[in-house]
Amino acid sequence: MKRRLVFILGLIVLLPLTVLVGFGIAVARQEKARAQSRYEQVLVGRLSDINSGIAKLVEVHQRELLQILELPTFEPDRIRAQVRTSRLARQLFVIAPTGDLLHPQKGGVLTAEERAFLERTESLWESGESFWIPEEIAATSKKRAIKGRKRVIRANDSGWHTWFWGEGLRLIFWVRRPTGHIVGAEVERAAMMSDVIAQLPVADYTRTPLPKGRIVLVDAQSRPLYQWGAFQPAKGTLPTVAQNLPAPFTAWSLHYFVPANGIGAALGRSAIFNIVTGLSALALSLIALATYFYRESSRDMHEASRRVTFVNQVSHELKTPLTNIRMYAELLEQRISEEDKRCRSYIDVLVAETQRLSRLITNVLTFATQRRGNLKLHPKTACVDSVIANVIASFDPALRAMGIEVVLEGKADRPVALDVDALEQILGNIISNVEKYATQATTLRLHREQHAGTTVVTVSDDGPGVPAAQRDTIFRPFVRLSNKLTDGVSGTGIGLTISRRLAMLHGGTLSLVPTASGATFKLTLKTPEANA
Amino acid sequence: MKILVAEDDRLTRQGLIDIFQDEGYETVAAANGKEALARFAEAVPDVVCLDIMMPDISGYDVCREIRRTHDAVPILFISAKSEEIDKVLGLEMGADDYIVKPFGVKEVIARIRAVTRRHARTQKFGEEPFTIGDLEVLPDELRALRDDDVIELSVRDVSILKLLAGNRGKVLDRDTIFNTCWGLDYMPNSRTLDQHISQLRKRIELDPKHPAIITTVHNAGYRYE
Repeated sequence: MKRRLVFILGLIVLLPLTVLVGFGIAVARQEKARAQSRYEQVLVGRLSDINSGIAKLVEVHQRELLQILELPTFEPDRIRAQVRTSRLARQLFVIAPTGDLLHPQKGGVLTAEERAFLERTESLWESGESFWIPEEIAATSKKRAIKGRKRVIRANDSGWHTWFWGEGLRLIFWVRRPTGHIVGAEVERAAMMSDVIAQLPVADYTRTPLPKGRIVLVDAQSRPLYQWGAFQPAKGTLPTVAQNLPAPFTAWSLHYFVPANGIGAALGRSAIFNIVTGLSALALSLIALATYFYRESSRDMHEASRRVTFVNQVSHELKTPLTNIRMYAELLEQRISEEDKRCRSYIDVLVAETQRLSRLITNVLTFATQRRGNLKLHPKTACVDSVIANVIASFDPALRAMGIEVVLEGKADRPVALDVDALEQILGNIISNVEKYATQATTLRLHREQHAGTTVVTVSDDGPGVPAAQRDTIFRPFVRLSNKLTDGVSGTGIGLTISRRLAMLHGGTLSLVPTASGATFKLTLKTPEANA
Repeated sequence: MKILVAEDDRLTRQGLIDIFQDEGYETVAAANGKEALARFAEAVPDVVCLDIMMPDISGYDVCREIRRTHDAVPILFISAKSEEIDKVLGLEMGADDYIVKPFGVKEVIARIRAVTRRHARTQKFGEEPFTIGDLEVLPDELRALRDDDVIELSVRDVSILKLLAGNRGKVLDRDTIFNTCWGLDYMPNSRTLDQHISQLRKRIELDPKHPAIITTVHNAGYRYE
């Protein structure tokens, strides 16, 4: 009983807790993902801030380069002079409207720097594809636009072009002149890089605005060009977020690294803490509630157990005085004169009452034993008829006084394996009911038969019988045909319950047989032949 | 035949002693376990009747102690405890049978006779069967046979029948019967003998009102013709 209670209370605590923990874990995961997303957005925001600084730098460069490219003439000496005074342009070039390179002209008299430029840009000229959009294509696009086509390609007036050569990214800025000439400048790589890096925070790893992360500027081959921040990511670690630089530096990108545990810890920790705290509080409440119910139930069970123990002890204590009353009454019965009828009748009453009390106590103790699951039988070789004779003899004075005649039919006189005490208790309870409820009866009939290891005893009376409404309930504990104390019928309502249980333990059953009048109980017991 | 009755409840003890004496046994009484062991050593009884719950030394311990030196003496437990474990434990400790309170006189008599019969069979006291009237009396069995009928007898019944059979045709007065069958210590009470003979007749006579085996000789005693 106690184990079952602990199991149920455990279930009451564990089931909602499990559901809530599962729910909490799902919520925590969602919260963590949300926190990570928010955190990444913050990181992306930081990278965007850096990128917008670089975009402004590009605008400044563009304005400076436009000034450089405002050449009054395309004279090589004039161009060379312009290159010499420029910090940002490494080399200038001019392309004729026809697409031919006018300066520095291949095969012409060139400086060493101009020859090197041609070598660096050889791939650009030899590919046959113009990195600027030629004017004729732009003109065609304009015509199409007039015809109402949606797709319009415009010939730009200026633009950037990148290519890779040698150590890495190279940049060209070009402008289309009204004459159709393209004038361009190769941007000085060192100046360009120093200007970009100047836009970035100082690479001081100790005093940094980025104490828990690192931002790395990488080139197209993911080689770090510049980095800052106190966090040192392990080799091979993927960036938490990454963002390409704005044009024309799109081949370069910014990688933002933060510690993996820092992400959840930074923003998700508070949410997880809240969930865990809430669940813990709920768990504590449930455990406290379960403990309270357990203690209350335990106290009730303990109290019930104490009451049963008390009844047991009282029953045991009653046994000795009851033995003495019964024993001395029977001794007196032996010694009293046969002729002293009145005295003998008094003694009969004494003996009958002690036997009734004995049955009551035995029933109470058997019931308690059955409730504890300890009820067992002790079969030994005995004769059913002898047991029946003893039981009838013990009821004889009472039945005679009530004017009930006992009629024995059939026989069950074979020596069989039988629990004598159990059979006495079963028959005692049935006949005791006749004594209690069938006061107007005139006959008590016991029919006995034995065959194939089974004994059947049918006990019937011609009393009022069992009301139809109660036929199904009389074998339940504490059910009595009358519960009114004023009816003058004594009993505890456990006699038939115990009798049926004992019959079942004996491999048989006890049932109420439907009859037109009176009550008939059929007792079947498995009684193997003693010499079998 | 001697029975040691060890029972701490005075009334139960005395009641048992009366039952056993009526049956024809000599009795020795003990009020606790310690006394039971002492009386057993002095009297060496043929049967021991032991209460389980006794002060000082329990019935179980007394049983164990007796079994160390006497493994044949029948031991009958008497207890208010009826739990399964008590019965099993009692029998495992070497008891021959048990009686659970509240018990009736007839149950005690039936069990003590059964124990005595088993003991007599194993010990072979050598009491020879004898015939009285149409009965064959088997003293070791505490039974008499008439054709197929078996009649239960007490130790005292057997001794009365044996005395009458051995003195066929003679009138035996009350003192002789008392001294022989009850013992010299017994305070005679004429009603006791008459009642006992009356009860015995009910069991052994075919017509107790016109007895054929034990006849009354008025103002003299009883006779077996």
